[in-house]
Parts: sequence; structure tokens; C-alpha cells
Amino acid sequence: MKNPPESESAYLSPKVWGIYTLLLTVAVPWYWQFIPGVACQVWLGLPAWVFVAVVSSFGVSLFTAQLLWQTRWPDEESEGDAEL
Amino acid sequence: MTLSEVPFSVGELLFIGGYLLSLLGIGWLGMRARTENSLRDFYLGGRGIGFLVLLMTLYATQYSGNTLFGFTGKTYRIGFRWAVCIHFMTAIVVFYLLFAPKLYRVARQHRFITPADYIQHRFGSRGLSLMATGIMVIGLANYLLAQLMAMGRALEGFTPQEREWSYIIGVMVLAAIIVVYETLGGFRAVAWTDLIQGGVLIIGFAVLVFLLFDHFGSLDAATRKLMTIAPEKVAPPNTKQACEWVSWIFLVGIGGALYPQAIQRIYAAKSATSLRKSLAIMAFLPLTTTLIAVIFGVVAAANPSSVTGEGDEVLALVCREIQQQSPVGRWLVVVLFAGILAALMSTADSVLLCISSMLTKDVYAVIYPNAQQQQLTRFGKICSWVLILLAVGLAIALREVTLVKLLKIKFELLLQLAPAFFIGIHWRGLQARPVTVGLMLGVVVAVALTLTGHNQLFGVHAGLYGLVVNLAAAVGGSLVFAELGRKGQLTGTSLEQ
Repeated sequence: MKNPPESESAYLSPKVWGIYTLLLTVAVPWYWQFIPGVACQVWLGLPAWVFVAVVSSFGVSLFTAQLLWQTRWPDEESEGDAEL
Repeated sequence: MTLSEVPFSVGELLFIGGYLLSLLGIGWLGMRARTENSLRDFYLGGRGIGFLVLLMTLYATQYSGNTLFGFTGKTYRIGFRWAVCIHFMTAIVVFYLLFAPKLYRVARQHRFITPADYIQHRFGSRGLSLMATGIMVIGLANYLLAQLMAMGRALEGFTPQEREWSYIIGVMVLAAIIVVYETLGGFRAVAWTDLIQGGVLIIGFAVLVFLLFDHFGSLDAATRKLMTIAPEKVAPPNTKQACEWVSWIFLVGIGGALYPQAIQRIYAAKSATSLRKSLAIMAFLPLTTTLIAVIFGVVAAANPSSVTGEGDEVLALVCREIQQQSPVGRWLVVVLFAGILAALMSTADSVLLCISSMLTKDVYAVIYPNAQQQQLTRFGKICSWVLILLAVGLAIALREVTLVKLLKIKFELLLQLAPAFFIGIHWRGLQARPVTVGLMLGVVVAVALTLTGHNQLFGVHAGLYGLVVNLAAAVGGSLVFAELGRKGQLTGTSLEQ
């Protein structure tokens, strides 16, 4: 089997999924139960643990969008980008 | 209590009626734009759709009425712990990275119309593709039913003395509008109405934020108040609840990415660029949609003297209060109501068209391989009408029945298609027979656990247990078959991509 084109395999790299795993580890609030005093402080209207979860979610969105925005797909080379 | 129990004036009702009629006009325009009488034109809009329409149809399809009613209600009941919904809606886009780029390329090369076209092409097994179609149709059919029932419930308060008739007429009228514009314009009509409906939905969420803070004050005050009156709704999750978060993220992330109607939108993209950029924007939409629903639910929970409801009706209750306060509030609620109808209808129309395409292309065209394109398209339209009639009949008959269990099973079922799409698209060693066995085992495990009341075990959803068994059978079986094949005892079954 041929290797997938570079831009398709870019999304499958261990580095990408390592970053997602790291973000998931922070985004899922499993650790806040051990620091209840900090967890329930209010940061910008949200409990601290929710604030961190939302910021992490934004991090996931940003990372995903950056991956999608920067990596052209193989078909784009030939399709001429007649858009909108 | 439903949103329509908020009394609307004649002018406000005319506004909503005008909005609904405009959808029929778009269906007519979709028919006029038709370039040929073919299945591809009817179900994928011919040469495909560009960035803006693609983005809005993806948005309107992924975010249903459940996002507005269900997520606000769930947050009202359990508090900030439902913030997991922001993560799982984002996860849907993340999981697209695993298969969308390559699926788009293969789909364009081989002119796929339905998700089962990919299965048939990749695995060359009619049994497997029929089984996948069956799972998707069952999963989506109860989703369609749920949307119709939610439409009825959204409207049943218009005549508080005769709620049943409002429900029945509401379901019938909205279903009729959907099926008419869909039959007229096919995918174009659905995608173009999604453009309007997605826009109305976004405006609806913006209105929701404005109404909320105007009426109840700041989020900070609501959070602090909730800490005092219901601290359990502010507390961070314990270990089991954190497991539930991870389970939700994988369940909805994978299941949502495998929505058949979303896969068809991958096929329908006019170019890889439009699809790639649409997905990039989609990654941020949970923060403008589900986060708002969570904040709404929390603020409502912090004001129990204002809100006496116990769940999904909380949105309607708050709106009634706001509507009574000022003319501006009244009109904002009207816009929000249109947004709710948009959310329900845009999901229902996509699901209806998708089921119709699968029954036509994956079942009828297989039984009648010599059928002409016009004949297939006609059958597809008849399918839509029969399906909607059945769904309307069931929605009326089951008015008092809760479909929560059926709804939950949708993701548990769709999840089982993950090996075929996520792994099969990249690894040619994945073989048809192990995938078929894995799919069957996964479905049996997921359904058996769900129907015996074990929707979650140790915080993990039934479908994920099914997926583990499914993956083990599909991947393990393929490796064993490959080894046996190498020894000359068996031959593999994989196709060129």
C-alpha cells in the first residue's frame, strides 16, 4: 500500500495526537476534586475548574483549526480553488 | 410548559409564518437550479456546495433542537458538570481529521452518494454495506421521530385549552413544509434552507445571551448564588463523573462525526478547500453555541424563584418571563422561537433526505440494478413522503411516550461504524469478514447493555464497550486472516482505493 499523501498523514502523526491527549488531560476536570478550595474560586464568572475546561476547549478548537487551516489537502493542488 | 405558551400577537405569528413560507420558496429555487434528473443531483446537489453553504449546513445539521432545549435543561438539572457538552461537540471536528480528507478524495473519485457506497467500495461486501445501511437507518429514524415530536411540543402551547390538537397540527404542518421543499429541491433546498436556518439559529443564540444577562444579571452573580443554594451544581466532578466526561467525549465525538448526513456533506463539498475551511470554523462553534446553552442553564438554576420548571421546559419558562417585560423582549423571544424551529427543521430535513437516499441507493438500486436515474429519483421522493407520513403518525401516536432510551441508542449504534471508516480508510489490511463480525458484536453488546438498563457501566457508555469488542474482532480478525492468507489457507478481500 502506498503511503498516504503528506497532508493526509499530517493529521495522523503521533505528535498531533500527543498534543490532543495533553489537552484532553487538562480539559477533563478529574484533578480538581483534589484541590476543592481552588476549584470553586470564581474566575471571570465561572468556577475555576469550568474556566480551565473552557479555555482547554478553546485550545482544542484553536489547534484543530490551525491544523486544518495550514495543511492543504492533495485535491487542492488540482482543483483551482474556485470558491464561495 | 412550552415556548408557544408565551402568547404571540398576530403580527408575531405572521412573522413566524412568513419565515416558514420562505423555506418553501427556497425549495422552489432549489428545483429551478437543478441541472439534471439524477440521484447525485438530487441527493448531493450536483457539483457540490461552496464554503459558506457547507459551513452553515454542517452547523445546522449538527446542532439540533436538543442543543437549545436539552442542553439548557440538562445544565439546569446537574449544573456546570454538563460543560462536557462543549468538549464533545468540539471532539466531533477532531475526529473528522481521522478520515474526512481521505474520504473526500475517494468519494470524489468514485462519485459516492451514500455512506454505504464507501463501505461497498472499500470492502466489496454487499452484506456489510447493507448491515451498515440498516444501522444508520435505524439510528436516524428515531432521531427524525424525536425532531418531529419536539416540533409538536414546541407548538402545543398555542392553544392551552386544546394542547393535543396544537401538537398534532404543529407536527403535520411543519412536516409538510419540510417534505415539500425537500421533494422540490432535494439536497440544494435542504442546504440552502440550512443557510437560513443556521443563520437564524446563530441569531437565536446571540439573542439568548442578551436576554439572559439583561434579565438575570451577570454570570458571576449567578455562579456565586448557585454556590450558596445548590453547591453540588458548582462542584467539580469526582473520579466516576470524570470518567463519564471522557466517555461522553468519545461517544458523541465519534458518533457525531459518523452521522450519515454529515458524511454526505463531506461528499457534497465543492472542493477540498471549502470542506477544510468549513471544518476549521466548525471547531469554534461549540464555544458560541453549547457554552451559551450551559450558561443559560446555570443562570436559570441560580434563579429558582423565577424558574419553577424541572428540565427541558426551562428555556420556555424564562422566555415567558422576559416576553412579559417589554416589546423588545417580546420580539427577541419571537426571533428565538424561530431559531428553535430552525434548529428542529434543519436537523429533520437532513435526516429525512439522508434516510431516503440510503433506501433508494443502497436498497432499491441494489434490488433493481437496471433502474434509470429518473426512476430512482422518483422512488427517493416517494420514500421521503412515505417516511414523513410514518414519522408523523408515530409522533402523534407516541405523543405521551418518552423516547429517551431510543434516542440514546443512536450514538451507541453509529459508533460501531468507526472501524470501517476510521481504520478501513487508511489500513488496507482491514478485511470485510472481521469488520462484519465486529459490527454485529458491537451492536449486540451496545444494544443489550442499553436495553437492560446499563446505559453506563463505571461511567462508560454501553456503545464504547461495544466498540472495544468490535475493534478487537475487526482488527484482530483481520490480522489472523492475513496470517492465514500468508500461509496460503485463505485469501484477503480488499479493494484498491
